[in-house]
Amino acid sequence: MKGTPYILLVIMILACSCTDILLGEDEDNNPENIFELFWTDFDLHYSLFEIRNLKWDSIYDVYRPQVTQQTSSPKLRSIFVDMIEYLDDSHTALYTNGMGDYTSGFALGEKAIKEEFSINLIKLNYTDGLETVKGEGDMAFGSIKGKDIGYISIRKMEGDDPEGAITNVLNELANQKAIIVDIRTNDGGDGGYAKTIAGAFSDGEYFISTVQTRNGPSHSDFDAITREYTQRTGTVQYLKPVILLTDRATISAGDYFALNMRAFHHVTIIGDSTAGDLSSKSMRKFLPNGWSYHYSIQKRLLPDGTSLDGIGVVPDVYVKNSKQDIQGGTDKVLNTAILYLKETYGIE
Amino acid sequence: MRMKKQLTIIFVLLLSHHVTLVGAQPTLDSLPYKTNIFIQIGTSVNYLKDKSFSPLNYRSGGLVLKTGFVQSINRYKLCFNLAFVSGNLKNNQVTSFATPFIDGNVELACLKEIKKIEGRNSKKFVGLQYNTLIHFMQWGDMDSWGYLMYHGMSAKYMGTWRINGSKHIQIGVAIPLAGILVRPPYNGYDYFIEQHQDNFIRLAFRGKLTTWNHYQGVNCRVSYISQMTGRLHFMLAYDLSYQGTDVPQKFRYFQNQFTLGFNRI
Repeated sequence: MKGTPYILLVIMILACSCTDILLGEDEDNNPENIFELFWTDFDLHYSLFEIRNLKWDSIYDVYRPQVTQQTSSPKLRSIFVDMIEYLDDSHTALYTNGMGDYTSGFALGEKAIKEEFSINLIKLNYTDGLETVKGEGDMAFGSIKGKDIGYISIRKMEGDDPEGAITNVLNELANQKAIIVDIRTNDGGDGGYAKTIAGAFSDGEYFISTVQTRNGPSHSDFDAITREYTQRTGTVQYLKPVILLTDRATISAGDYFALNMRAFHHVTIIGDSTAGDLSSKSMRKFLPNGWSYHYSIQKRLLPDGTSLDGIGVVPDVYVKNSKQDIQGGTDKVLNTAILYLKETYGIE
Repeated sequence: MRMKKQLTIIFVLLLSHHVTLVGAQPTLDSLPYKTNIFIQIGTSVNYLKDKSFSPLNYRSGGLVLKTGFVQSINRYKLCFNLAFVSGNLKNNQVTSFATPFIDGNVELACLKEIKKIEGRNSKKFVGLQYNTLIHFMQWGDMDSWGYLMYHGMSAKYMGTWRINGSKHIQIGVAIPLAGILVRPPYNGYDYFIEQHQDNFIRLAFRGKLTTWNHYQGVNCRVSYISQMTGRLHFMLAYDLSYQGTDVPQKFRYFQNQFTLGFNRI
């Protein structure tokens, strides 16, 4: 027993010197290994292969032969972009350290952001200015010029106090005969936040979707089904006519907000389909060359088992702006909403 | 600065509490019970692989703070340790993936002296230890995170060897037997986390009962203790610990901690 402290000391020193054995070798930073890591990680974790009938093995067959030890970074980036574009899923994105980030299936969303929407135009031409709600990601409200119609813009589903914020806004707009809720170019955030805001307009608790997270190596491995219902937020809900404006840049938690709102009988959706990214995205994943990425890890289905991923929440009235509309000072979507309220409810 | 101040206050309170309990003492060795309070500060050099977080190997460094007490009652010891580590994880190849991390460890052990032999310069104790261990890291504004928590029982051995009248070496080894292992779900995130992301307690105990089959760990500690004054001792310690599991994906964490501090009897 006398030697016990010395034996333990020797064991500890030996253990210190063999970290490589304990952890394993670090990943090689070469194009072939990076491709293998990238493809395999999607194969093991991405959630929408089956629901969208995607053949990921065929992507391997097409692109793996194009990658060698000599493949340049721009070429590898181009291959990865093609691979994720095949998924057509805005929750899937690649970040390449200064070589340009890329979001899958977002061409229409990008166009909507750049050309088909202008919050300044609404501030100047349609309202007497918008009041920003402090503490919330990007929420503002006001009234449509010369009308008894309130206007709320929500461009992020994030904030400190969604219930307090929406309650205060609705109190401010209580005298209006209708409200237009504009979530065009809403880039998402927190699903719970979206649900709470939507709950302020709730006329009931409706079964709207099921959600499952992928939990195994097979493309069909998912955890137990959770049913999701709309909720009521606050003690009093706004039950006068509501128009929800959406476009292809209404993403993720924005999609989810629209999914909640479409269940309510006094809500009409006008605009373009939302982006159709209803499943939560993964954590950021890392590659040995400094690139990172994320992707969808859930499937959210309608009660009838169909999916809106890639399709989006379809509006009741389809209309979209062109670049020329916006440049000419007209928001055709907002005009349609105002006209709809007049023709359907006699509100102006 | 605020944390430093709080720790100082806690230390002073612990010391004053002890003085109230024990009062003026005669010879320490003659007492049937003793309370031993310590505080330590140091540095940590760690190596990590957590495939649920990243396929890369990480090395980390951080600040270590420890405090606790040992209550000796005849041949028994009740040991309480609290440790906190904070620092940054780095990958050797990709500096942009540096990640803050925190480690926490709470231990409560009950040990009994074995084979007491009068006049020997060594004492050996064995017993059981409960510990809650937390390892958490996040990258960006929660764009990515990983964690391991373990709440369980360990078998513990502790031995003390007196070098001369005022110096001795203490060695401790703890090996987990069974406990609740808390790891991220297969995809790192799921609906439960989404619904309970603000409820740390719910997430911290969302685990499975695990034994050596799925969670391997060991914690070894070597301390050199030298008497400075009648009651105050200087401590220099080295801790080595290892945790490994393949639930849900490969996790290996190897920690080295070097600390120094004071021990008041």
